[in-house]
Amino acid sequence: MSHGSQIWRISGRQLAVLVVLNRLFSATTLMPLITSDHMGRDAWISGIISVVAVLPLALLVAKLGSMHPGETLAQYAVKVLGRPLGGALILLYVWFFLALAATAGRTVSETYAVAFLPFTPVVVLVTVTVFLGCLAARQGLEVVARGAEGIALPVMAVFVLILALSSDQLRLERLQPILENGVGRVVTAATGSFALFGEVIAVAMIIPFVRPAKAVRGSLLWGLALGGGLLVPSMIWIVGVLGPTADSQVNPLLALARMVRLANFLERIELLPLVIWTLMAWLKIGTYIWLAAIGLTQLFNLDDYRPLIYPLGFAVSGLSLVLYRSTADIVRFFSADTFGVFATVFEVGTIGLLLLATLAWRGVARLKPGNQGGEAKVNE
Amino acid sequence: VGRKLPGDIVARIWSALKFGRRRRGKPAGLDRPADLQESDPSFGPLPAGPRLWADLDRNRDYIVEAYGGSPDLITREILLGWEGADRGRRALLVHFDGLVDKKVVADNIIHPLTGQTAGPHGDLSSPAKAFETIKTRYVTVSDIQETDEFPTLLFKVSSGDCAVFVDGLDRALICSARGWPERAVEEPPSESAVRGPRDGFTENLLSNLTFIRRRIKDPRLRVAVMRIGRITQTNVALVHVAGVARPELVAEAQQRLQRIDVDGIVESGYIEELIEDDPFSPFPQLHRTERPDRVVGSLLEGRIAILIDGAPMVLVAPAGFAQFLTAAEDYYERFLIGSFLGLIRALSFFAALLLPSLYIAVTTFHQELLPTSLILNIAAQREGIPFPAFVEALILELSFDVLREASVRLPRLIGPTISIVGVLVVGQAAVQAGLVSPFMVIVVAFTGIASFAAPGFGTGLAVRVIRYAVMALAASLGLFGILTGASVLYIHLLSLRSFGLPFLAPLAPLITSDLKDTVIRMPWWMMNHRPSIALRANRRRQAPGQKPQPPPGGKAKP
Repeated sequence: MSHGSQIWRISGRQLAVLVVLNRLFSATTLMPLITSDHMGRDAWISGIISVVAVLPLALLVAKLGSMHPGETLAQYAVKVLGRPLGGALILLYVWFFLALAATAGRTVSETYAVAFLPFTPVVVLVTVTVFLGCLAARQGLEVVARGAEGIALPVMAVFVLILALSSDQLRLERLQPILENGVGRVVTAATGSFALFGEVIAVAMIIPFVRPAKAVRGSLLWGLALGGGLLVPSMIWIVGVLGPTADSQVNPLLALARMVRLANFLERIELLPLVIWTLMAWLKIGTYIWLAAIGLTQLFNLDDYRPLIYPLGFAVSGLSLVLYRSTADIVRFFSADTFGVFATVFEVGTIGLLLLATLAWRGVARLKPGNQGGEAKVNE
Repeated sequence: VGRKLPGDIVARIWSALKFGRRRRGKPAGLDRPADLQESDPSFGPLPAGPRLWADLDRNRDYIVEAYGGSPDLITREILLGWEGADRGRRALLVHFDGLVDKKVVADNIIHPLTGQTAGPHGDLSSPAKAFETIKTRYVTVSDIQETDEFPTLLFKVSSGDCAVFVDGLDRALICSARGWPERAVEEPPSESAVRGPRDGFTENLLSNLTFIRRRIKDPRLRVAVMRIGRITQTNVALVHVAGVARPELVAEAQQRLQRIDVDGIVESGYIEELIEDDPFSPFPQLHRTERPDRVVGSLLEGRIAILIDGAPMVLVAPAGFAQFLTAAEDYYERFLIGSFLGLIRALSFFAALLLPSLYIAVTTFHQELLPTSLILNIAAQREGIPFPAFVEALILELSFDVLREASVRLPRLIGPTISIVGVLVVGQAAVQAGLVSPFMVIVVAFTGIASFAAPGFGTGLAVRVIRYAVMALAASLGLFGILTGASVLYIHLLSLRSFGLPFLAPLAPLITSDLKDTVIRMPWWMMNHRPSIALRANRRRQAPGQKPQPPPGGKAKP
């Protein structure tokens, strides 16, 4: 077996932590912004809907993984769809990963530029962040997963701390009236959040490396639940603390952190979001660059994924500069009716397609004489 | 093994560029005496020796020639026995002056051999019988050995043993009579503790092993000694507790040690650089200590120790980052105090790494993060300073490093004087001259102190180097730069392993059961299990439920 399908080993907890951090990153840099922009008071309901709605998708991803034990999405896509179609799908996925990495690099850089480094060109920030991601990606999945595991507790602690310390200014009545614009609007808006949660389909590329294999389902569900469990309160807090000004904040979490005043000695804790963003940014970028590299390596039967990392990093840096013109552009793109629709269709569509194709492939395999049950040959 | 390291490639290119002599392939292993017979000019000459001869004079000539007629080699001829026809069989003693205890040689070897003791003993009728008699009855040294090969013999004589030849027999008896001037056991200077044993390792491998053996009386304490270095032939001991350390770990360590093929081992650093996992990392991947109690603690956790003759530093592997932050005292003081000290040390590690950079970043980029009055103060102090904060920090940090280096090298008598002058000049005068601001002096001085708080001296050195890089990043990108530097460091530490153990374990990967003994130490009655590096089958280290409690039924009677 080629080096491209080298076996990494990560634990179920590491998988869960990757899912949580991935979602929290979007939640801290993007999500409050978008939902506030569109939904204001009812954003948290959209959040709950989206996290509940994404659970079946995660289960489907886990199911697909267990139907093809020991194989990544890139491997079984070619197997069940054939090389032309499967290859095209993998390339789509690779593009999806690169675009997500590029977006992550751009959002964190914009946040920096706006909040802390007004005179630094965004290109510098993007390049540095993506470079960090490449460093991590080059070391492989295990290092990325360990890195996530190491920072998970501090990150979540910061998150909770900011919410807890700003809770003295929380006015829940600011959330009323609930469902002012009707249920339909809330559900539509939920697609934006759903699409971000839907990035969990990337896990299909990691499933064969999780030990023990049966931990995948539980880890996915735990990861999503924890992500949702942190996200929904933050939406409530943002509206409840910031009130009507929530919409106009560049970054609501940063605004929350700036609100913290504890007995005149604990102030100016906006450094903390800065720290966790940087760490989560390169982790997310590193994960996606690694995924893209592994996808390409397995598609083209390469020996080693590492030479791909830096070229892909260049691509990501470039993409993140050309895809968006400004923060406003990112916000517009990530709204429910752009990214929400696009990503939801892509995520649900491709996973559904693969599931159908797998079932069909199993059926064909069962018809063949001498082949029992169509079980895939397990790659060791 | 099959992986090509960049260093290896560089070495190949280098050797290809050098015309003529090329390095030969590695021999199979060095601990077999047969390998020592081959003469390899690239490692320096070694006398190619045959087996011993039966002729006493020939043997003596060979040895004298092998040592180049060195004046400190003593060859003493004596006559065996005292009566009868066999009286007058010749024997030869060979040893080095200064390496042996002369009293032992005189009393326990020469005295009985020359028949000064009363009474007829044994049979001297043939060379073989005489040899047997000497071995079993005459020599009163406990550690003896036989050999018929010159390489072994020469090694033993060089190590301080006394060789005894009998004329007419091609064997020699090697009697241990080692004794040489030695440093007394002192308190370890680099790792002192208020509470805890005061003895530290010395330069003698044997007495260092004794320190460990005295503390672990269980026979499962295993010691494997191998000889490393073609010319120095240094004894290196690999120590572990069987049934506690993983056999794979011991085998791996043994293999790495046996792979070493150099001309000499002078200090533990040589071994460390030749067996570590990532040779390019600034961080040490083996823990070094001068304290026998720390080594014993590590052995009980399932680690291995490597003792090197001539080095007071003992290497312990695998070593994690958390280990470098611990001090021996953490385990002897009350656990709350120990944990607090551990936290302080962890904090000072980060302070030593980041404090000057934070100052640079905050004063240059993020003034809004400081309270207004403080930032006004700093601004007022920096008013006349001609340099940006980065240059200011660089000047002070560099001069601090120079001072620090000088105070280590200075003779002990003038050291303090020069340091005080240096500190006064650098601190006070530089401020008054308007070169640096007083605030910067505080920051740099505190950073310097903080870097001494962590007892892992090697980690301290790494931090000292990395600090400059982080300062440059802070000067160019502010807090983002610091975070970038910290992230690079984090990624590097994540990819680092020490004998297979991830360097940041038990934090990343998170091993919850091992968290009880990291920066925060749990009380001993809670440490029922060894860390996960120990052999899985024998993880339990003590009986559970030993938390001390007052006796049931109220107060104990006095």
